[in-house]
Amino acid sequence: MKSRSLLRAFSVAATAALAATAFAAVGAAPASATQSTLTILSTGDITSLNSGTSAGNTAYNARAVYPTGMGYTYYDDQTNLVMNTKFGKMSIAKNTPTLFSIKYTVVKNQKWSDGTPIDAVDLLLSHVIASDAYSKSAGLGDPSSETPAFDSVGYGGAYGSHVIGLPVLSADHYTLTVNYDQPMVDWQLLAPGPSPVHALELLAAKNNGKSYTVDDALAAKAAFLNDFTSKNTAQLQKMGDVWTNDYNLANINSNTNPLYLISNGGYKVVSKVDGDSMTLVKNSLYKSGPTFVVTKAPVSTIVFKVIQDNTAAVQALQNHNIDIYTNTLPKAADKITLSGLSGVTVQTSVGGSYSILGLRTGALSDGDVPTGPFAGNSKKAKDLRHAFLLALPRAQFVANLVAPVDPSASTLDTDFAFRGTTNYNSITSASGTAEYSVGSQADRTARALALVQKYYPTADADTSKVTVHMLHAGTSSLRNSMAALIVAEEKKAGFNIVNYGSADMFSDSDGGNDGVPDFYDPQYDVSFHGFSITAVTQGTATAEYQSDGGNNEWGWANSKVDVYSDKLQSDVLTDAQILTYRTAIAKIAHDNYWGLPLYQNPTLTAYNSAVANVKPEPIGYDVVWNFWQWHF
Amino acid sequence: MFAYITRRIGMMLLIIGGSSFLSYNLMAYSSNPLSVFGESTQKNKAFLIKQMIRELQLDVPPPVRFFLWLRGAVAGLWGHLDLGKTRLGFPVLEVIGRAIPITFRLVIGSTILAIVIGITIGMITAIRQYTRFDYSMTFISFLLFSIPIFWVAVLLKLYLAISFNDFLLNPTIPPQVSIGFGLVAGFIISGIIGGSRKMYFAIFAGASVVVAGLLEIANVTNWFLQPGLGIVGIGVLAFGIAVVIVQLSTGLANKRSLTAGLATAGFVTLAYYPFQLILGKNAGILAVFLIFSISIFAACVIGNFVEKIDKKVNIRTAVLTAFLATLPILLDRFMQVFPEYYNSDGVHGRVVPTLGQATDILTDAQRNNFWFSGLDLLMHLILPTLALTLISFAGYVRYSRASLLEVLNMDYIRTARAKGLNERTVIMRHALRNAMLPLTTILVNDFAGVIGGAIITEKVFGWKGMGSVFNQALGNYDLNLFMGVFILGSVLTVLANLVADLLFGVVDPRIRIRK
Repeated sequence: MKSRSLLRAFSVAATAALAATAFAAVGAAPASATQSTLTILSTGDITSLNSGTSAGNTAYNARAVYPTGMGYTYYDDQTNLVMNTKFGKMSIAKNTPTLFSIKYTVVKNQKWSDGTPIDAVDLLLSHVIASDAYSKSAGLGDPSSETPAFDSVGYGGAYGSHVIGLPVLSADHYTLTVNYDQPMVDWQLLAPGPSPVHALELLAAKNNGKSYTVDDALAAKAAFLNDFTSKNTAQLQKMGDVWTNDYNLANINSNTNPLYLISNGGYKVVSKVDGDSMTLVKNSLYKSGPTFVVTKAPVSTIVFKVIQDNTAAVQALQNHNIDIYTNTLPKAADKITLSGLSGVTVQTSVGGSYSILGLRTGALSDGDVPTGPFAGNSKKAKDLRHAFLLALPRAQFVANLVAPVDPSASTLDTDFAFRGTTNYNSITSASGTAEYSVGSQADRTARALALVQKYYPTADADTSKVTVHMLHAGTSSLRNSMAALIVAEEKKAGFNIVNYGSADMFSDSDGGNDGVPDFYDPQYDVSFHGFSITAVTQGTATAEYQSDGGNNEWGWANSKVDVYSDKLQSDVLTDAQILTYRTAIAKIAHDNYWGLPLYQNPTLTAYNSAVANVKPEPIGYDVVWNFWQWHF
Repeated sequence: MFAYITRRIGMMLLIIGGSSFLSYNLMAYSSNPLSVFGESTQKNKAFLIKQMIRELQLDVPPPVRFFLWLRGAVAGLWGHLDLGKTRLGFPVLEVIGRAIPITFRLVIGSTILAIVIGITIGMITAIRQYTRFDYSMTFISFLLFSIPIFWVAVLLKLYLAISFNDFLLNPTIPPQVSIGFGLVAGFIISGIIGGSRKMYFAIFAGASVVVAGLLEIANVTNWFLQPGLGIVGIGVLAFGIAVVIVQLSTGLANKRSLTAGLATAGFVTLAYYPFQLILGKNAGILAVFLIFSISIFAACVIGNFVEKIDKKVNIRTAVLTAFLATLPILLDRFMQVFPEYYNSDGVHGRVVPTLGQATDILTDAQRNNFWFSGLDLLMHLILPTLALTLISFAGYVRYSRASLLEVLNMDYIRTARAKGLNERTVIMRHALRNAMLPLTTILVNDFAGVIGGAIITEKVFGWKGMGSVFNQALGNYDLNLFMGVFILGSVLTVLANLVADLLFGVVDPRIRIRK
């Protein structure tokens, strides 16, 4: 009985209280906060603040630390190499066949984010991590045969092969002169990047970074210069260990040694959560690059958010968990989904990779001589190659695979220039490759069949007379669709294609013959795949056409092409000369019917429409290249 | 016993050794890390290839390379375990050490929820066999059983994150939606309670009206932007919990027990205001322990005083009530920081995130505020926990339903009924305990599987636990990392099997482990 009355009393009280709260709690909705944080999608894990080591060498690391370091150059969204004169200038000091020197000056009054002045001593580390000879002579290990103290990906390149001695520092430490034993092509790309060498020296001395003064930093910088010039093996090895291993930080927070986080870019790293995100805030001492756009709603914080799953990234954009989404392997479905989101701007641009198809004409470096219908330089082989290229359904690749993402896409007719540039038009019209874009595919296939019938009069769409073996990276659905289109269209021209898709096509896994198909095997007549571009160089694409080029996978050989390629790779040329040589190579490649570039892969960028100045850039760091222009 | 365990462990080592040799070689031969250079146009390509061969020891054939790896792993037996470094330069042990707590955080809640909800619903469907509720639950569990997790995730993100956050911009529920929610709730509640047709419809109508009414009140009070339970909500929940606990443990007919339960509920309700002082802005996990200790202590005192004899039963009832009834107070405290959370820069109104482990840009003050960072964690846990629970509870529903049905047909249940025990005692004491026996094996193995991580779930929700580490190992040709995860997974699986076998001998008196 007792409990029942208790219940009744309670229910009366409860009803009253409920009614009371119902009226009392009606309040204003909280106002939405103004946004000052920009969250950028990173499709891969960010693992290191040093993207120059072999372990930390991922595009994701490089992209995330780009806003923290400014050097002499950067690429803009038109793939122009822009000189960053806020940081410094470079010029050719001496240009003779045996001595080529470049003078690098650093603009005064710049500071690292810890207040230490920036000067040319900060450029010296570049020599340590790119000169094989220095690493060897300083007792840090020969990079070609053992793991060096600075385990860098910079060895084995043009800088290391041609630099003479140590870079020369001026008396005031604001100018550095680097000497080479020959004129260097693309010398702008060899510019040393600044690194906070005082931090390296302090870290090697186990400094915790909490209480050092600018004087300590300057002393450390002087010590670095001394260790560098005297090749102090023991100290350099300690610094190499720090440089190679210690910048791989899983988590960054207030306990992290601030010496790792020193920046001269617009932002500096403040925190990182392993596998999840990295956060950067504005660097108040930033002077080393273009000035920030003046605005009422600046981007004060940048977050790189790691999302490896594409659908998850799209939904995160939709929920405003991220502000900028990029996809370098977009599908038509992605474009459709993104275009349907409100408050999101979708932009398609040309990506940093392209596909190319080549016909096997000669022996590769391993000496295996192909015997297929395309091998050699006889009239018949050339005609058959010509026929094959004519019947190649390139327009259909674009229509089926690229246009759904980028409606403005068209075929790529040369790989010596980006589509849409002036050089591109003059090279394609002069080389003759425009032939493959004129008229309809049906006409071209009919011409191809006519060429085949010169040698096999009974060949037609139903009776294939020429059997060719084709190889491609079969693991990708895109490549498989392309292969299917090729097989179908070439059949109409009398070609019977034996099609292999191999996940391992790039490696000579069996050391020559049979077993796993790869393009070192002599039986392949045709192969196609992609090439990615990470820099615009004078010698671009020549490695494909030169007879001993690193990317010549089809045995193409022509003495004139070799001469022109050498010139493009190692002579300092004028723009007109460059165009002439490139056109000449393209023309020879066309006259010999070696192969054809297919198309440039598109990149899809979608971003919160409230963010201004998001401009994707194809070959470097994608959207982050112009962080100073962003605002809400 | 000792000999049995030794023999089992010996077998375990053999199995693990053989399987790791096999998987190392399968993984090593399955792909070629050098193929990344195929599409590269870098100028020092030759050097980079040489560097990779050197660092991954690609010049050593995999069967031999396995023993280089094994040397470090076997050294673990005398405390010098070295599983090598990942390709990204971190020691494998460190990477796994970091991933385990994150996986635990992600999976433990959903595993427990799935077990509790799954077994509860399974038992109810067994007791209410062939009713509307049974059929609909069977249908739902089969449906969820067959839906892939990534799709559940997409739907949850769309409706519970994106749409809900959009809804919060102007949080008013249209009347037809309130009514819809009411009807669904009415169906579920009346189905569980059961009874005659008349009773069924009465409960159905009542529950529908209450739920729809609550949603309307939430509308009027702007509850979605300023949520809270208040002393009224706490009171209603506390007394509700008390009634349910008493009914399950002793039956509502036991007046002493009922008094103990209700008095405890009353105490917790009244303690709402004093508890607010303990759970202040600077409070931490200690304050949470403190309020639970106070509630439970009070429950012991109440249980001790309501009756002189058979104190144990009353104390048990009161303590259970106290524990469960204090949870809403904690929930209410988290709700109090909601407006601040909603307005913070890191959240900017999107309170339910579609992915991630935590908000990346909390200020130090926010991070050090237990309630704020706790709420942030809970918000990030909602969707993955729900997704994992939804797809895994179906299994438990089916297992426990079948198990209880089998037990209910046993002779000893008929005996129990025949000797006049009431239905509650028959089910709670005689049937339930025995029905749980076969579930032990499944539970132990599931807990071992927890460490293996939820590979797809972690990827879809952007968590960096064991699952994503495994993914990374596969994607990167990271042999050391792959083997680290593999070894941990295989050791745990084999151990769990051993523990399940041993446990079975303990809980089931019919089974003895032979010497």
